[in-house]
Amino acid sequence: MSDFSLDDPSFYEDFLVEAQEHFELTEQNFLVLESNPGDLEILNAIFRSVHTIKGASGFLGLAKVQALAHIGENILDDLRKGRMNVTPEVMELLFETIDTLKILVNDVGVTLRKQGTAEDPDTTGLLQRLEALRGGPPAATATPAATTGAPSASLQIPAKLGNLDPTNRKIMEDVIAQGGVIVAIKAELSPEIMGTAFNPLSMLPMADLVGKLIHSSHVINSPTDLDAFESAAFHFDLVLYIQPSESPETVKKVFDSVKNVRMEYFVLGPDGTQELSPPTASIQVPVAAIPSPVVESPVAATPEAGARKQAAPDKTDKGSDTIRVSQLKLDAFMNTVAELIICKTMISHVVERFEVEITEGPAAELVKEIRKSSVYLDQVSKEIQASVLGIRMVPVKTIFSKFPRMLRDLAKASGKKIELQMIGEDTEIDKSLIEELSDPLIHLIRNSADHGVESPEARLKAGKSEVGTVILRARHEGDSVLVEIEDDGKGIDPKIIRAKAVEKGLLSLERAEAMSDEEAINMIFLPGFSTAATVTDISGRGVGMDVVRSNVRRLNGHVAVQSVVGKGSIFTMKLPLTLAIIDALLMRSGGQVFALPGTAVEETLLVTKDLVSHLTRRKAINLRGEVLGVTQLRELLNFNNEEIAGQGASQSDELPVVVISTSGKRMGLIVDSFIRRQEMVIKPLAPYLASLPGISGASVMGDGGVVLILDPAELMTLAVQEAL
Amino acid sequence: MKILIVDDSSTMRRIIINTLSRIGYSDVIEAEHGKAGLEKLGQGGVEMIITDWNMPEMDGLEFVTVVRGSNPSIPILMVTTNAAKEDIVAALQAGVNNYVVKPFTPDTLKEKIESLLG
Repeated sequence: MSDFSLDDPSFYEDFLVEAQEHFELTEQNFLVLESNPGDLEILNAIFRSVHTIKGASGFLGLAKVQALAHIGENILDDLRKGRMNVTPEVMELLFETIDTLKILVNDVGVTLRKQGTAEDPDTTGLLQRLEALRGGPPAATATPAATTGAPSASLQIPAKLGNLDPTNRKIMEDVIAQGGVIVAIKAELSPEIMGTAFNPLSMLPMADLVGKLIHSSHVINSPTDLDAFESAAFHFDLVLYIQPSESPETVKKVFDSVKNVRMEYFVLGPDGTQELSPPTASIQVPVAAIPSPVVESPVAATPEAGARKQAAPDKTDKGSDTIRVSQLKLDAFMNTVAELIICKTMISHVVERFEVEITEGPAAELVKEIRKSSVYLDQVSKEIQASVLGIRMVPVKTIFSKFPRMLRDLAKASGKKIELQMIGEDTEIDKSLIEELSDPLIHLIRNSADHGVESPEARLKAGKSEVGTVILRARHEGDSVLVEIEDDGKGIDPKIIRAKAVEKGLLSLERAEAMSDEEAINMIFLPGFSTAATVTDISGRGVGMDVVRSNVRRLNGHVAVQSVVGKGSIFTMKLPLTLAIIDALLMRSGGQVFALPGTAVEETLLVTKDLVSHLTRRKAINLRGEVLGVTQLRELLNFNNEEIAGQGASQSDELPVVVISTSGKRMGLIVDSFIRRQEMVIKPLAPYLASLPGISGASVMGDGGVVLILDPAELMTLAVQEAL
Repeated sequence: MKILIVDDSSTMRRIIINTLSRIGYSDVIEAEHGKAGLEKLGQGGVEMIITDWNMPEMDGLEFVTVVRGSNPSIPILMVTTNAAKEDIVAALQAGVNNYVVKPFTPDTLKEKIESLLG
């Protein structure tokens, strides 16, 4: 990297993105390779990925990445050329190599963005093991020096090589005086070389492969008869003088592979000049020996290279019409669109007021026109919003793709047999969500593998197939994305969960027994329900499940579990398609405006006060024959502003009630009044508000007022707690 | 002089373009594999090719072979890592005029390009 520095950080950014793609591709390919060892296409695809990473890292001065990728590439090359077999041992080492490369590349990002500290793993051990796999470190390049005794400055050049100018003669004499040798090659070109793609002058760069080209010259062919002179034959032979870095035999081997050229090799050394044995007939075609020689096509001449044609999965295949945009730009765009929507809402708000105030006169005409424009603005901004959301959508595949590998490792570590099925990988979800989704998913899959699926023996005993199945499923449902992790393991026993919850003091025995089984097993998501230390004592479920739930909640989603003892469990995460904009029902309660995500709203009712029955500590209404628990929103949130509480409250006999549903449970919220249904741009809550129970965010209304966005799942929990 | 760069790695393409511009070549077009390279070549005007070897769809060797089938004279430079000697020999035999090993310095690239033009 000495004199080549890429000071533009975007080179590194590009590299990070590209490397990431290659890592994902490689992991998929590795898994395929494990089941089809020796699949040449897959090997080639992996080789190419590692090769690309190595190539770019060299330029970017990432020495560690380059060194590791280099040896990884060598091993892959050995594998694809059949010099090594795909054994489990090799696979493990290759996996480790990719993992380490990932960390190293991740470090690049960390350093670049100055976020956190680089892990900077020590790669020496791994490099040594990789070298050992290839059969020890490569022997130090054989230096032809020090082979002979007394250095002699004599340089005997065979007559057929022609003359040598004094300068070059001196250079070569110096080489020999220092104990080195010079390999001289006389290349006689056969007429057949005409019409092939090979340019004889390419032999000059070829010399660099085996050493340093000191000089090249031409000698006139030994005179032949005039007929021959008229033929297509070349009348000059090419002479190359090389100071080899390899043995003279290697030099010979490399140049012998050139077709349609007759080579003669001379080793010029301190002991005089030796001619290397003439090339074997099988490689070389003597010039005039065959009357009409068939010129071998260059492609057929290199079967390996021919086999390199790729058909393996590769993103670049279809990526030609796409451009890459940094996420920062998209986020900025998204924010601007969000502001636009707020502006739009403000304008339509003003227009509405105009329409009420100004009904006559010339101004009324203007209002009409503004109204028209406002409607148009409405449509256009909706389209913009849809487009930007569409741009931000990525298939869940991008995170699903790492799970086969993870599950494989988990299964291996625990001695279980687990098969992973992935369904609906093309389901799209907002990019910002997908990143946040990764951690809870890892948690749940790990949980299924660790605690859900049983050991092969236990499975056989239970009459199941030895191989457990984990299904990862994604699909759209309305404005939500459902992600499910299903296993056919031992399930979660509600009895054990109840006992544990009571023991932990989370609830009373009576209350626990009154719970449905489904409610009971969903207690695993309660904070404090379990810790890693106690979890193995019970059914094994629940490691950090509260973390999963809080993560998912932060995304305005919720998570629930269904389970049948002995049959398995299904964890379901329900997430909004996007975080930034929601469709919400606006309502007023206790003098404050709240927004309820539309996804949670089942229906709105006006209930006559008399029809609200009071059961012990809970209020309930009869909704088409079903008892529905209802509660005052402002009481639930402790948002009771005494001064204004009465103001907004409905003076009529009818109470506005909104029925919300989440995780299959329903409840009614009594509010003061409904305002309207509207799109809301979610703004994160100020830190001092972030811990407000039941509130997930805030938004700005058309008139500039602040709206608090309710978290339906949390409201449900609050209501349950209040009733206890 | 119009140079066609064929490489599946966008990072590599940028690096090559950046290097070329430092040594005075700014008329550059890109392709991400051999097939795309042939299309770009078909549009005419290309006076030199710089190609990678390992690429999807159509690798560098096949690409060079096809190019040479119809264009014996256009200078072709292959960008490689320190691949096996026999591979480079194969590339040269297929019609590559010279090769440059990654990572290269602007000077090396310049030297190689000049050797092709000289």
